[in-house]
Amino acid sequence: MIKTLKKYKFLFGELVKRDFRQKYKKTTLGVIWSVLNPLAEFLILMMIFKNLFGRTTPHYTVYMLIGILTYSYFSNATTSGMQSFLSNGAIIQKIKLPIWLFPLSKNVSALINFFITLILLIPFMIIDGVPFTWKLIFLVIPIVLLFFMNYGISLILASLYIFFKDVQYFYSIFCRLLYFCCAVFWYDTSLSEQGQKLLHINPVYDFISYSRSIIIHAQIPSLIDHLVLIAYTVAMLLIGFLVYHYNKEKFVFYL
Amino acid sequence: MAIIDASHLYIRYLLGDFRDIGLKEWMIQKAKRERRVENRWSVEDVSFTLEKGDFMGIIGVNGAGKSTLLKSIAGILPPKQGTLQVNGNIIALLELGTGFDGDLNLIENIYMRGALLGYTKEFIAERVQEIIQFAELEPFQYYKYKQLSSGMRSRLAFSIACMVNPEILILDEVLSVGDGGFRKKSEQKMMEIIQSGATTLFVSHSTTQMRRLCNKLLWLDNGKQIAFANNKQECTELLTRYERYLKQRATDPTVKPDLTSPLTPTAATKQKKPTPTSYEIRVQTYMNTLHKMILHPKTVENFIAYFQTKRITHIAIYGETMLSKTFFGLLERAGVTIDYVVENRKESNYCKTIYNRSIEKYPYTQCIFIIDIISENEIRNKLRKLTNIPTVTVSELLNYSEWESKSKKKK
Repeated sequence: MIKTLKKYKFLFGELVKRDFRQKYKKTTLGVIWSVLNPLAEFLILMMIFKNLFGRTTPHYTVYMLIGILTYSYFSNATTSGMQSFLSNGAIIQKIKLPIWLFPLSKNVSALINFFITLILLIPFMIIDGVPFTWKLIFLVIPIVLLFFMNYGISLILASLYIFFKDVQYFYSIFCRLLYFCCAVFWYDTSLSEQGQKLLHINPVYDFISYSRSIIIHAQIPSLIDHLVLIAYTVAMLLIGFLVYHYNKEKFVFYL
Repeated sequence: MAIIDASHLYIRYLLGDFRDIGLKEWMIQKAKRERRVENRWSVEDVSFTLEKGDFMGIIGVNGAGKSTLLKSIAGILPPKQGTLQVNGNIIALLELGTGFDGDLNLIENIYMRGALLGYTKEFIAERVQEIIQFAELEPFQYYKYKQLSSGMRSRLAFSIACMVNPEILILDEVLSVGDGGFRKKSEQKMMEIIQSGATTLFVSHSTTQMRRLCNKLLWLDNGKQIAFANNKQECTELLTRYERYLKQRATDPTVKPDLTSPLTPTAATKQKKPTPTSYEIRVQTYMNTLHKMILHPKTVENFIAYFQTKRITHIAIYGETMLSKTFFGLLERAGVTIDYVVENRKESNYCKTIYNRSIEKYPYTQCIFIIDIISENEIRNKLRKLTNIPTVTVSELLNYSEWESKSKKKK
C-alpha cells in the first residue's frame, strides 16, 4: 500500500489540493472559514453555557474548545470521506486507480484543515492561563490515531454509501448523538461513575478526554487509555479495509 | 512476446433494478426474495492476441460489450473468468472529459488531469506550454475551465491525452476532436502515436476509419465473439460483412450476423455511396430548381409583380435561414422589407414563442412567406392557428410544380 502511495504520490497531492480548494471555493473569506466556523460555534456555546458550567470549574474555555475542534475534525473527515467514492464516480469508472486514494485525500485535506483550526487553541490557552509544557508533544499520538480511525470509518461509510444513499442521513443523526456523548460543553465528571464508563464507548470522547488531560492537566494518560485509542483505530481500519476489499469490484456497477 | 493476450475472457455485468434503490427498497426486495439483479455476461468467451504495433478495431452494435471489454483491458473491470495478460503501460482514453474541475484554471487542470492519466510532475511541467499551444488556448490559460466552450474543452482534453508514448493505447471513439482544422491536426497527432509502435485498441462506429487503420478486427455481438480477423484482407472482408449486417438489421432487427454467404463485389462497392433518402432527393431537386428559377427573368418579373400589385411592403419569412438568403436579392428588388425570419424547427413551442415576440415587435407585417416547399401545407396550417396574417408559398409565387415537371422531362 505504501508502494502504491509512492507511485501515485503526485496524483495524490493533486487530489488533496483539489479537495482543499473545493471546500471553500466561491467564498470571499476562503480558508479563514475553517477557523471562523469552529470559532463561531465556540462563541455561541460559550454564551449559553458559560454561566451554567463555567463558574465552578477552571479552564472551561479550553475544555470546550478542545472538544469542539476534535469533534468537528472527526465529523468533517468522515462525512467528506463518505462522499468521496460517489463524487469521484466519473473518474473511477473511466480511469484505473487504487480508489482508496479518494477517501484518503479527503481525510488528508480535513487533517490540514484541523491543523489550521488548532491555531485557535493558542490564544485561548494564553487567555485562560493554561501552561505550555513539553508534554504537549504527546498530542501527536491522538492526532495520528484519530486520522487513521477517521480513514477507517470513511472507508466503511464510503463503501456503504455507494449501495445505500440512506447512509448519509443515518450518519448525520448518528453524528448528532455522538456529539452529545462527547461531553463537549458539559462536564463528564458530573456523571455517575457508571455513566462515565459508558461514555468511553464513544471513541471520539476517548480522543477528546486524552487531549484534555494532556493540555489542561499536563498529565500523560494511563497505558489503558492508550490501548483503548489504539484498539479503536485498528478495529476501524480493519473493518474499513475488509468492507472495502470485499465490495470494491462491485463499485463500478453502482456508481 | 504478445503485448495483449486474452483467452476465453468472461466479464460480468450486473443488470437490473439495483442502483439507487435505498435501504427500504432493498429490504423489501430481500424480504420478498426477488432482488431483481441479473448477473449477466457482458463479454462471453472472447479470445485474441495482439503483438507490438497492432491496431485492433472492435465492432458491434450498441450494447455488444465493446466498451466493457476496453474497460477490462484498462483494468477497471477485472474479468471473472479466463486469462488476460497485458504487458506494457496503458493509456486508456475511454472518455476525454473526466477529472476536470470547473473552478480551477487551465494550467491547474492540466496537472490534475495529467496526474489522473499517470503522468509524472516533471513530465507535465515540461509539456504544459506545449499542451496549451497544441490546444490553441494560449490566451485562455488562466481562465477557469468552466469558462471554456465545449469545443475548447475537448481540444484541451485531447491535447493532454496525446502527449504520451504509451505501449498500449485504448481509444473509445476518440481519434479526433474539434472543428475542421483542429480535427485534422488531432487525427494526425493520434496517427503519430499509433505509428510510433503503440498497440492500439479502437472502438468506433466509423467503418471507413476502421478499413483504413485496422490490421486486426474483433466483432462482438451480444457479448459473444462473432469473428476475429487476423490480417488486413480479413479485416476488409469482415467489415464488409458487418456493414451488410447493419444494413439488414435496419429493416429486420432479428437478423443474425452472417459469416458464410458470399460477398458480391457489387454489394461492397454500392455501400460506399449511401443511397439518399427520398426526402434528401426532394430537398436537392428543390434547391437545384430554385436556383434556376430565380435566375430566370420571367419568374423575377412575376415575383416582383406579386408584391407590387398587392402593395405588400413588410413580410416575414418562414423557413431555413440559409434558404431565405436566396430570396433576399429578389425581395429587395420588389421593394419588400423583411421584418423577421422564423427558422423551421421541430419543437412545437418554438414557433409560437417567436411569433408572440415578433408580432408585438412588428405589427405591420402584411404577409408571411413560406419558403419550405416540402412541408408547406403543414406549416400553413400551423401558422393559421397562431395568426391571421395571410401566407404565401414559393410554389404559389413561382409556379414551382411547373418547373419541377420541366426539369423531370429534361432528365
